[in-house]
Amino acid sequence: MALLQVRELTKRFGTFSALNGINLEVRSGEVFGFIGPNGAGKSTTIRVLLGILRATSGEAKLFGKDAWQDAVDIHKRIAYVPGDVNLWPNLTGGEVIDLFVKLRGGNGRSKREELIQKFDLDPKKKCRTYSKGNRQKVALIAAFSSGADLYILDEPTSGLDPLMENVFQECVLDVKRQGKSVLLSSHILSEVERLCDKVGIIRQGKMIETGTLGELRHLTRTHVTVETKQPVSSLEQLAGIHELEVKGMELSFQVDSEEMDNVIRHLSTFGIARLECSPPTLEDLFIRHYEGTGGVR
Amino acid sequence: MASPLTARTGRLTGFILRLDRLRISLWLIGIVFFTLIVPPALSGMYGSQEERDVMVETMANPAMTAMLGPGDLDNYTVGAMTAHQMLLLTSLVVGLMAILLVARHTRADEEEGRIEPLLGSPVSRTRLLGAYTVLAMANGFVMLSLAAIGLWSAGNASMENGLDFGTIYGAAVAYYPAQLVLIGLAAFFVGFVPKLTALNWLYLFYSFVVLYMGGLLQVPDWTKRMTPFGYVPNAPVEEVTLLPLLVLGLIAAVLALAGFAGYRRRDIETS
Repeated sequence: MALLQVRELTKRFGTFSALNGINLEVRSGEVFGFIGPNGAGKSTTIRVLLGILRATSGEAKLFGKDAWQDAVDIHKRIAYVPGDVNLWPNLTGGEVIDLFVKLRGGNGRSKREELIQKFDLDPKKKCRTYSKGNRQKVALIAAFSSGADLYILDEPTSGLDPLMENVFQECVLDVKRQGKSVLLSSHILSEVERLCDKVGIIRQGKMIETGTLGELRHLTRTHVTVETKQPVSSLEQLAGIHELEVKGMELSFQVDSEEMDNVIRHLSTFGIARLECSPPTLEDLFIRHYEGTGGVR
Repeated sequence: MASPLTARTGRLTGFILRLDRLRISLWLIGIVFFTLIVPPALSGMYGSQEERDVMVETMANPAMTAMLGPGDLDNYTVGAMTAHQMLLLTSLVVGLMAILLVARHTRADEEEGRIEPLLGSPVSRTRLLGAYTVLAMANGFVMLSLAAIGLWSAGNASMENGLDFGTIYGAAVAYYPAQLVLIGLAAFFVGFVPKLTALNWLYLFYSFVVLYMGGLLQVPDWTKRMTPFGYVPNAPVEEVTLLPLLVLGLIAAVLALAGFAGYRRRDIETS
C-alpha cells in the first residue's frame, strides 16, 4: 500500500518554478531516500507534504488523505524533522521535546529518556545555547519518541558528528523493524545507501530517477586507488574503467559499479599491496549523467 | 474529561504563556503599580476641594482642555480625571501586548522557521493563531480589570469620596471593544499581508500621538476617529453609549475572521 503518493506536483513562487511535476511514492514499511543537490526542491516537496506550502497543481496524498485539506489528521500519524531546526531560545531542550511529544498526543516518556541518553543531549540547557547539531538532536528525539507511522526527515544529519550519525541510523533501522515508513532527504548518497530500500533523485524540481539501489547501480562509479606488487598491464582494455592515471606502481581510476568484480579479479593477479576505494558522490553522479541537460539524460 | 483536541489547545496556550511568562508578568506588575501609584500622587497634589477647584480652573484653560479633552468640570474629581487618563494609557499598553502576542510572535516564529515543526504536528493554523488571539483577548480583559481595581482601591484609600467600583469598572470595560479592534487588526495583517505586519506598530503609535498629544497639537477631530479609541466614551466623565462599542466589536470580529481565513489559505514563509 502506498502511504505517501505524489503525482505531477508543481509549485511556483511567483514566476519561479520550484517543482515541475514531482512523482513520488513511499510504501508501507519502506525507507525512501530522497536525494538531490541543495536547492533541487527536496524541502519544498516536503513542505507541500506537510501542508506548510500549498501545491500549485498536482496531488499530494498521505495515508490516502490530501496533504493540504487534511493536514491535521495526517500529522497525527507523522513525525517531522526540518532541515534547519530552529527553537525558542528561552525554552530548554527538554521543554521543547515535551511540547512536541504532547502536541502529538503521545507520552513517550521512557523512549524519550532512552533517546536523550543515546544522543548524549543535555535537556536542561536553554535552546539559545545549543549548536546546530544539538538543535537537530532535540528534533530527532522528539520525532523518534512519538510512535508515528511515517517519519519525514529533511537532511537530519547535516549538523551531527559521525558518532551521532550512527545513533541516528540505528533509530531509523529501529522504526523500520517496527514496520514504519521513512522519507529521508539527503544530499549525501552514501548515507542514503546504508538505510534506504528505494531512492528517488530530484534535480531542478523534477524527479530524474527512482528505483531500488540495485536498479540505480548503473549510475554509480567508485573511485579506486591501488598499489600493486607488479606493474599492471592492459587495465585500460577492461570495460568500465575511466580516467585512469598511472604513477609507477600506483594506479587511480574510476570504475562502473557493475564492472567492479571483473576489475578486482584482474588487479589481484598482479598482487595488491594497497587498495583504497571511496564511494561515489552525488556530485559525481550529477556531473556525469545530467550535466547541462536540465535533468534529462 | 478533556478531549484530545481541547487538551492540545490547552497545551498550546500553556506553551505560549511559558514563552512569555516573564514579559506578561512584568506588564501586569507595571499596570498595577501605575494605577496604585498615580492616584495617590494626584490626590496629594489636589487633596482638598479648594485645590481641586484650582485644578478645575486650570482645566477650563483652553490649553488644558486641549490636552485632556473636554470634561464635565462640575464633577471633576481626582478619581474621574485619573480614571480616564489611566484607562486610556492601560489600553494603549494592552494594545501593544496584543500586537506582540498576535502579530509579532506568530511572525517571528514564521520568519525564523520555528513555526514549521509546530504546524508539522497535529496543530491547525486556526488553532495556532487562535491560541494567540484568545490569549491576547484574555490578557486585555485581565489588564483592564486590574487597572479598574487598582484605580478604585487607590481612589478609596486616598480620597474621602472615591468613585464607586461599578462606575470605574464600567469605564474600564468600555475600552475593551477598542482593544479587540487592535487584536483583530493584528490577526488581519498576519493572515493577509504578513509582510506588512509591522504597520501594526505604526498604527498604535499613531493612536498614541493623536489621543495623547492630539489636543496639544490641535489635530482635527477626524484623526481621532481613525483610531478605535476615538470612539470610546471618556467614562466616567462622559456617558457610556452602547452603539459605538458594538460597532467596534463588529469591526474587530470582521478583521479577525478575514485574518484567520487568509492565514488558513496562504503559504507559510520559509527560509
